[in-house]
Amino acid sequence: MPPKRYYKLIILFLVPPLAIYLLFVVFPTAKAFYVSFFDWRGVSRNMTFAGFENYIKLLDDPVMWKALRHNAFFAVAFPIAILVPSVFIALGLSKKIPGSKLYRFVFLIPNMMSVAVVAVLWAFLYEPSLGPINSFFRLLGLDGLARPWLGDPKVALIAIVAPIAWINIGFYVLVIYAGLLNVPQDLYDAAVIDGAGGWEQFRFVTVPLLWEILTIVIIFITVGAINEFSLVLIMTNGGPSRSTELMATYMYKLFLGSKYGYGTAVGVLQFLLSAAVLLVAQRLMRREAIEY
Amino acid sequence: MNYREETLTQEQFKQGRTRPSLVRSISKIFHGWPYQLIMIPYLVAVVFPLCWLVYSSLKTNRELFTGVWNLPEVPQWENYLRAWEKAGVSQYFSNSLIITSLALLGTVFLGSIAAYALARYPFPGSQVIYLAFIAGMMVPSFVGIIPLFFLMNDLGLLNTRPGLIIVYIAVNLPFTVFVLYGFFRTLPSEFADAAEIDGCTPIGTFFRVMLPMARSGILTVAILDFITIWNEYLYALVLISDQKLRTLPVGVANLYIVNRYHADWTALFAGLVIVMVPCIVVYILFQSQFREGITVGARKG
Repeated sequence: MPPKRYYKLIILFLVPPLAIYLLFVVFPTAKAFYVSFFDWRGVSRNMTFAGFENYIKLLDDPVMWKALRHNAFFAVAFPIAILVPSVFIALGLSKKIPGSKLYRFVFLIPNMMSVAVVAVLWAFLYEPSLGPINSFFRLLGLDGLARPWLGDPKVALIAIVAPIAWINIGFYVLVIYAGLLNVPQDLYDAAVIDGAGGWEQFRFVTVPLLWEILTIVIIFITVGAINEFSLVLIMTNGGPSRSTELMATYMYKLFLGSKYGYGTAVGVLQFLLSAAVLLVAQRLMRREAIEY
Repeated sequence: MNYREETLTQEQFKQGRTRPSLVRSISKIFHGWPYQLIMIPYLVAVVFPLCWLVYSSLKTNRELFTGVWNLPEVPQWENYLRAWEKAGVSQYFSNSLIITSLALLGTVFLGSIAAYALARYPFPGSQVIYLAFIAGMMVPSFVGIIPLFFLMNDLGLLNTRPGLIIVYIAVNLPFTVFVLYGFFRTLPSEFADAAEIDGCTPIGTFFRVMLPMARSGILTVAILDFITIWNEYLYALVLISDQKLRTLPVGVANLYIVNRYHADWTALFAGLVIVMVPCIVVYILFQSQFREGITVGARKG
């Protein structure tokens, strides 16, 4: 317990930030759980207790299942599209290859941009008739590959993975690179003496020592996949014909349609899924801590 | 003599290992070339869309539609004027400027006093408060958005700048407290103790001694918060519906969403560049802070 003369500081310094945080973050989050058990729609404030009705309705809602499948697709696609290139790029940077400094500088730029800018920019890159991506394929004579990327329900969801990887790779490169810098060089030297080639060094030195950071990165990316919203809202608004509808965009539409209780239940489900991912991933990926 | 002989052999040894300079420079270029097979395409993938956006924002709409790859004949600076005046970007820009700077000030100030109290004067329960703050980093902003909307409505803060500012402060406190807590823990307490012996009150000590010492940590967290707040989309979309109060990201995205089929694309591109430029400038000026911020996050995370 700190001496009495510090009480004034502790109270004055902690109460205002804590009050703001509790009122505008903790309270709405907690209230969401409460509200999700009510039937609450329209402008009126009349809420009637409905028990698990909203959640039972969700189980029967084909749009919800569709959205859930799309989020599940992202939860698999994002780690592959983001993590795999990030690990290789970070490894390259740690090898001090020519241009490392330039790469470190440039790769983070997309992460500095508003999701609104990235969304509009990529929507135009994907534009069917004159967008750069299609006209690039036509230039190469690969007309068959040109398609209305965001207008075709079969490919729209896949097309959205690219801008998301584009935003995030640079950030995760730097996170993994920072982890690589902590791996002591002697371990690699020892591995080389033991006759380890490039792959063995990667598999038996880099991966085990990086495991903790990789776990955190995977959790972050997966939780991001469950809560993806802004980019999809701007680029496709969940369309065409709900082929890119996500839990979050669906919730936003329910909110706009004044279905507050039901919409909040979707949000709570997202929260629970995020928490589940966190716990399961930590369990699955737990290894003995490596001391070095 | 002995000493000289020894240095000679070392030099000879080094020379023996050194390859001729041409071979050396070539081998240097190709050092790690399998990685370059990923680096160079990715570099192009990052840089090209950005360059394309910037030069396309200087084309006429006709030029854009006739040759999507071509450079502008004559740079059309009027596109920026059209975006700024006709499309209302100037209004969005000043909204963003006011909201971001006040929210940033509030976040950094409240974040540093909270972090300082928690880091320097642990008391029973302080760890719980710290964890409560940190937990906010993992909670998706989506969960509480509908209750927050009604809370803001009840407080008369919906559709107001102060409302959005206070929400930005609240949602950015977890990260700010997290980074600054770690930072204040590393600051030596000798200076603070000395100031207190000289008769400074604890609060005076914080403002006169500790806060200036924490400059570099505060700068790091302020820059990361700046990028987050300037670019924020979700809260600005839900909590502000009055067109005159919209922030840049929402305003510019809306130009695209509303005019999707008969858009003045080049003015829209100019608007995107206007959103982007402040962040890129801050990024160029404060690169090392960004790296430090991410490294701190990676080590502690």
